[in-house]
Amino acid sequence: MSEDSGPGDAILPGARDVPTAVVRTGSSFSLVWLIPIVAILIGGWIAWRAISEQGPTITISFKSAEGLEAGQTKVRYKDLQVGMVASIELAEDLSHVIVTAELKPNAERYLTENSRFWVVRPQISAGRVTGLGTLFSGSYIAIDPVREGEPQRAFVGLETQPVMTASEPGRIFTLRSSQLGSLDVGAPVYYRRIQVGEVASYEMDASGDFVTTQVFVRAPHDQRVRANTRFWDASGLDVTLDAEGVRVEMASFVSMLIGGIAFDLLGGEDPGGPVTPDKVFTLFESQRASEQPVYALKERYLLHFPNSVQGLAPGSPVVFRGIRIGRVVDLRLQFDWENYGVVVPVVIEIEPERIETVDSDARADVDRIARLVAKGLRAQLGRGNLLTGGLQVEFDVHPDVELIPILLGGVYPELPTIPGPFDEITSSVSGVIAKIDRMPLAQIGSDLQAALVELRLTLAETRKMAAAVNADVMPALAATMERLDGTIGSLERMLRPDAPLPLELRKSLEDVGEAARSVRVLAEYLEQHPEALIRGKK
Amino acid sequence: MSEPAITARSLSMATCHDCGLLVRLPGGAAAALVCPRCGAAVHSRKAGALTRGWALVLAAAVLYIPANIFPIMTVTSLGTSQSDTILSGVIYLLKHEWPLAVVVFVASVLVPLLKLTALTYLLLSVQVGWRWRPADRTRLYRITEAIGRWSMVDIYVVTILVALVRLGELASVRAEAGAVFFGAVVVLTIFAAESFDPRLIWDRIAEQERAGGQHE
Repeated sequence: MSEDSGPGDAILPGARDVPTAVVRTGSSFSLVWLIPIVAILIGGWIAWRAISEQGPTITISFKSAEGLEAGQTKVRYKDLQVGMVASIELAEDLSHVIVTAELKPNAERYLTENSRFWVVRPQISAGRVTGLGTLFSGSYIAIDPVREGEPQRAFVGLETQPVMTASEPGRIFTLRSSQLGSLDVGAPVYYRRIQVGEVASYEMDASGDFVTTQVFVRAPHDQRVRANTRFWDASGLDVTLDAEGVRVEMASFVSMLIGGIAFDLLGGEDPGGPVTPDKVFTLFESQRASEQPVYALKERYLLHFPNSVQGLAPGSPVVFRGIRIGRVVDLRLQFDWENYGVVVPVVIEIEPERIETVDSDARADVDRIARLVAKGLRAQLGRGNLLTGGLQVEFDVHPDVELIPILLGGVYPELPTIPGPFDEITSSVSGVIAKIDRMPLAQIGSDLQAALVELRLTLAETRKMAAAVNADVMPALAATMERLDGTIGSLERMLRPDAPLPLELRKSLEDVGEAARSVRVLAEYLEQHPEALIRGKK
Repeated sequence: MSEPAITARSLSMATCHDCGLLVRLPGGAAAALVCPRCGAAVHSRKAGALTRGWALVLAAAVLYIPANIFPIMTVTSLGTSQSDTILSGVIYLLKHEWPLAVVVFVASVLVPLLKLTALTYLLLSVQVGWRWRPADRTRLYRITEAIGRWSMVDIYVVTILVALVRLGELASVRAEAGAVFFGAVVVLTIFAAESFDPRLIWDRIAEQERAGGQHE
């Protein structure tokens, strides 16, 4: 045991007996540094992975952040999570909220200007309940990705779920109507009573005159819509009361409650070509209305009727020989305070295309109407609907009316009118009554009585005369008749062909003929030889 | 100035950890020594205390970042999943049960940070050789070592919840990456505190006093 003396010797008495530890050589590198190295490697790898796996960040603006929570709400596509909402902030003008969402790395492909975002919440609309699952799992943001388009990072979110996504095959058509009716987004679109699509959206036109509705028709039914297809509003009930009776029509119970649109071709009409992208269909109010041919040209004219227009209203038909060519647009009352005259100006609207022209493409425009007026085209009021007592304006060419030309220069050209057949009957009846009134019936009555008395006397006389004639005149008359008979018999005998009288008559005639011939010869000779008169014949 | 304190090291002696033999230390204390009687390693001070301390503190600090960034656990109830990090859990608890929030904050945020800060300070102080309040520093070390284990409260909560709440979509808890990192941080700080030798605090002072004394 080696002993080293050290400072401990002084303190511990037996310290020099303390053995000495043995030196053991070894490496000086401490393995403990592996731990921080590994920790740094792990941290570095995590950081690198987080940075490289970071997907694009987008902003979506919504009207409200209802149901959205930063760090919780997910962005989903086909129920697969593709992102998460990172933060939600109010916009500066406090009109909407801006949602910042981070998406998965490969989401860049479908973040284009055509992609759409909306919040899926429990919703009841158009007779359907959607999004019930979000009651449990919380609302989420759905994306409708569209690959085509410019890349975009700032989006405006939709407030309602779109009716169809870009990936659903089908086509959108634009319809126009004067009012929305009872339609709503999601209302069904029917073809032959089968639902083939939905109403996607609607908006009022800038001028406020009509409503434009977009409907989505699923494939393959969108092929059935051609250029001449008619769309009509199949909402509610359709009750028609006309000469054929009462008719009630309804597309479906659903459409009665929430509205619906139906489309079809007119029976027998050519479907027309494929639908162009800018084609706007008219949405008719009912199936009936859709079956009316539609004309684009409309021309307005002014008429003045002096008589009562009771039964005439805007919408009353304008007919030409029984065929409807237009309708009444407006009618007012004009009172001339100076002459105390009343006149009713009526504005009518004619669709000139309804008047087909034979042999040419000429249309019934103002010039031609003027010419017709010169030929006698006149308007008159006639009995329209027997059931309701409504009037209609009837046009016809009357050849024997006085010449009144068409009046141009006002707001509308003015066409001349004549009293209607009703008025004519009235006036002629009143004329007849006036004539009857004028007849001196009392005088005639008394004259007639006197004449009757005379007649009776005359008849009595005549009877007497007749009796006398019978008694006296008749026998003499009979004797005269007999004599006449005998005379006629002698005459007949005389004039028989073999009677002597005719034979002698003939002979005499022949002699006379001979003599005449001789005289003629003499005359001819004398003409050539006038000296024979003096000298005689040689 | 009081007399320099007497430590075993100052007498160049040490005891064997396994058999208790008092042995003399040859030369410097940097070499690896074994007991002549039983062959166990003889250390005057914990081997590589500073080295190991720095390494472990560094590792714990590096891993503390993902421990806070990644969620600790995901709670699914009635179909709704909610992932929470330590801080977001604290904030959530603040709204509902603020005493719990205080507990979680202290155990999961305050304690690890304090430990890391304290260990860094102690290591730095020993490395550089400060003489500031050695008694307080030693006390600080004791506190650090004692409270280290309480950081595991958060991990215990996560493990118990994961094991007990297993009702499928109705209610379930799942541990996430943050829990792993946080557990690593706590373990590493425990090891770091364990590896630090507080005697080094006094050694430095004693060395300086001796050096100062010798110069006098």
